[in-house]
Amino acid sequence: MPSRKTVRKHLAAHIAGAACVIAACAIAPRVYAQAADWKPQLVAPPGNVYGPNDPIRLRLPPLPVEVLQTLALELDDFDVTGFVSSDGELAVLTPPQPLAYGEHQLRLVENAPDGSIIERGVWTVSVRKSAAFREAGLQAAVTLNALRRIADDDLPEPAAKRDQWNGAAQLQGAVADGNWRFTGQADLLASGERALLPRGEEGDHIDLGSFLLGYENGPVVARAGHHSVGPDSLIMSGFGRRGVSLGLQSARTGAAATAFSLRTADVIGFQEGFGIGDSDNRTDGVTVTFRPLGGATDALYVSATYLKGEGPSQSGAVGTGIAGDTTAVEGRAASVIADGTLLERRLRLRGEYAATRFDFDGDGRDLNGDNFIDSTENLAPERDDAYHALVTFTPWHDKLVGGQPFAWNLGVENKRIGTFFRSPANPIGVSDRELVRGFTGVNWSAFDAQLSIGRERDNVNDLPLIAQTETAQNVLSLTYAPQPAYEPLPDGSLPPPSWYGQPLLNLSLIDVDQDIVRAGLGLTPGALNKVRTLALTASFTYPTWSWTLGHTIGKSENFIGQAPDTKTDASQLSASFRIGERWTFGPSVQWSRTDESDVPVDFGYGPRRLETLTAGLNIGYLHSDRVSATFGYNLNRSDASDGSQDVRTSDVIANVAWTVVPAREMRPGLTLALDGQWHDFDDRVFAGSNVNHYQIFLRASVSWLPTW
Amino acid sequence: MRRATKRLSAAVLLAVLPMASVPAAVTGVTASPAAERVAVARTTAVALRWNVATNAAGTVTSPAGEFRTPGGALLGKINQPLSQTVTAGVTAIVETVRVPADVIERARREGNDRLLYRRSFTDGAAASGEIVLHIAPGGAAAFGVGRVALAFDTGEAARVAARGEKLQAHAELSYTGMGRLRALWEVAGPNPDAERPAWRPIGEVLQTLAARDAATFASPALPTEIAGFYLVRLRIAEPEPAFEAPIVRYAVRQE
Repeated sequence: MPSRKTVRKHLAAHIAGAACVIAACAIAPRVYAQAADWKPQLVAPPGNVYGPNDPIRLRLPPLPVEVLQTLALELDDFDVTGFVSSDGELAVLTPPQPLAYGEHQLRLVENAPDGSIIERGVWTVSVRKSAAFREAGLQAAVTLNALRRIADDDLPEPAAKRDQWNGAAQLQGAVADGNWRFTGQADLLASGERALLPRGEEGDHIDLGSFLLGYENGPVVARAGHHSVGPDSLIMSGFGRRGVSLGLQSARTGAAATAFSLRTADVIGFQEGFGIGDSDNRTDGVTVTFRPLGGATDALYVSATYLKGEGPSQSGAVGTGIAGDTTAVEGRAASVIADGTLLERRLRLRGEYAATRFDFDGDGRDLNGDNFIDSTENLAPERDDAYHALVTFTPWHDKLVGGQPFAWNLGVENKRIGTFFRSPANPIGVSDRELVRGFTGVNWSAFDAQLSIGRERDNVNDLPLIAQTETAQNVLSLTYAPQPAYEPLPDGSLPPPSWYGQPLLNLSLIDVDQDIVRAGLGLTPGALNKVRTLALTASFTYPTWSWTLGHTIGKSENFIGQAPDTKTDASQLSASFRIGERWTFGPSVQWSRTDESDVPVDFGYGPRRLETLTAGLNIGYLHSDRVSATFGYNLNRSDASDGSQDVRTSDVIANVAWTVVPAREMRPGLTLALDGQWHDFDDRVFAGSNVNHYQIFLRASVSWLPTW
Repeated sequence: MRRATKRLSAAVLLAVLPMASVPAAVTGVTASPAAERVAVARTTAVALRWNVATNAAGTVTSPAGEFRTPGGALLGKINQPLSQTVTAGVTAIVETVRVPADVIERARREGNDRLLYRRSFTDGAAASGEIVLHIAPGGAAAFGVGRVALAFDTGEAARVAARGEKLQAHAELSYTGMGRLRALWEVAGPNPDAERPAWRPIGEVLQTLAARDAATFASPALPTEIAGFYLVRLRIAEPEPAFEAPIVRYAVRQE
């Protein structure tokens, strides 16, 4: 589709060529229509259904060439006259690219000699999959791998099967008509070894990764599967879980209300259906969002959330990648957020208040082992609250300094979170904090600077038996990222980039001071911890390669004999090269050295130095569209100066692949490959788990990319 | 590493060590450190070493640990057995125990500013030892990782990627106290051994964690050049976590 909107006054010139095509439609008839009252006709498509690629035909009456030269055809306000051809007495518009399913507006206009525009016809063209559905499609991307291990040495016993298989599929589909639309997507994994799949031996050879079904019908939005609901808040954050939600939303007012039911501890695989069948492991709630000042403005936005949940909120089922406290808890939480802007959006005010009622042990713990939980074995719920206030100010939006945009912002936030504030839908929710932080940022030309100064106290509730600490955390980040401007050479080509290509330099400094400000058991007022980290990063990008260099210096001190003092130096270098059209290289090195001193006596060791080296090299070779090869080498070495640790791991991964038959739409493809792996693990202190083995697989991969 | 002795999880110990064939009498048990801090109302991971004195070689076991108030009231149990072969003398058995938030809270509500974690070791004759756990603010508590949530960019724990697709994993850590985190991003695959994956380190995480209680780390770019099945984990070497590193997985399509 042309990228610019029709400019009608220029149509005559534009049409000069294309109009000949339209004109050709009308050359045959010798009797011209009356110029003032003629009407074009849209020719119905076969079956009365337009597909995304179907031509659109117009029947024009016989017209003088002078009139035809002033005609223009618009599709969705884009000039498509250049894509019109003739077919006898018909003007045929062939879409330059598939039209989206749905309704499109087609318009034929005539630019009259007096400069006026006469609309000769306007039609609504409905592009549909079929008469029954406006849209109906399913795409799949499937791979099935069959492997035979053709060579190996020293594999750990019992060795894995010589013949193996695995596979994967991505499925995506949509059906729509009228106001409704149903969508779905899912990832499937398969393996001959069930232990490789998320649920391990508990599952089958084919299992489900994530999935999501969606349904929209006007203001109604429903979803089932893995998703999150509502805006981030103190009571619900990072809570993407399997479950269902049903919402109503108004495009006109911006108001929305969503009720949800999500599994508290996430789950994966073909189990637990939509995840809401277990009331002991479910979080239900509702979130409401509206704009009190009207839907067309973002001057004020208000949202409120209420939820109630039960289950092990800190952990997930096997295969979900979540490991934490498995205690089943129970809780209720409510939050109200108001977020608005003033002074032409230069001032932003955001406030949130939340309250929770949290039961740390849910139904309780059977402490005496009598299979019954009495009142003494069940903690009563604890109530607490939290608030967060944020103010940011941007003095101007479009200031120029030295001809370059100059942006400045500053802000302050205050957050108070009670010691017992906890929500089942915010598994990483921080509690027991009172924070005041100021921050500012400046961006000018290639420079960017960000500064944050914060003070935080814990134990904000009145717990006299427990100590109180205060933490000062200051962060400074400076970035320089110039955009070199290259003037074209006389021959029009661009000059070679300078030696530094396109650079990006960053310096960041983090300073943390933690003190005990109120005595508690074993803790007396005074310094607790001090941490300083300085990181320098430089990256340089060129047309066909890039490299990055970084160095970090860190120092931490503990003043109460709880942890060793440390000094850390860490460097990293990585690069990515493309040589010609066939070769790619990706080397990387990461090295760190940590000196530990003032080691607490009960640690059982004295001052020492720890060093770690991690290096990698990836090489890719593209021989042709059908034949490619990759090679990867990884090395890791960790050792300690006191001899307590000396581990080396080396790996080589290599592969040669030949695409015998490429997959094309409904036709499956076939690829043959040799995959080789060598692994060496050498623990020079605890040698019991040392291994050194290799294996080579012959692999046949069938790929299928069908679309219906 | 919190202790000089290399830490082995209880599960590993059980799996690799033979059961006792020679009776040994446990003559004494002490914990090192003798006291540690746990965070008020927050699950806290505490690393400790049991120094078990025996009068003969053999295998000592401890079926479970108990949390008790200083007055002796039971607060909770850890049904995680420990077992280790010993020689006559003192043997260190390491453990990272996760002290649940409700156990700490139960102790506090009963008017205590501390609780005890106790284990009894036996092989013939039994003896028990305990560590005192002082209740402290989260920032001053023992440095420990209580929770890890691992996922790919889009939040999934299992996904399918196209060959050559840019793919990263993210780890969300909840912790108490302050200390140095040392961890390795590791990948196994394509086509890893399901029982004994050959983990290869692809990047190190080395950072002092302080004052925030939660941190997120991104992995280096994950390999997607070769079709097949892959496993990913963030193996935390320091502080020793109280759980096995969670794993996420992905499959790379050929086309």
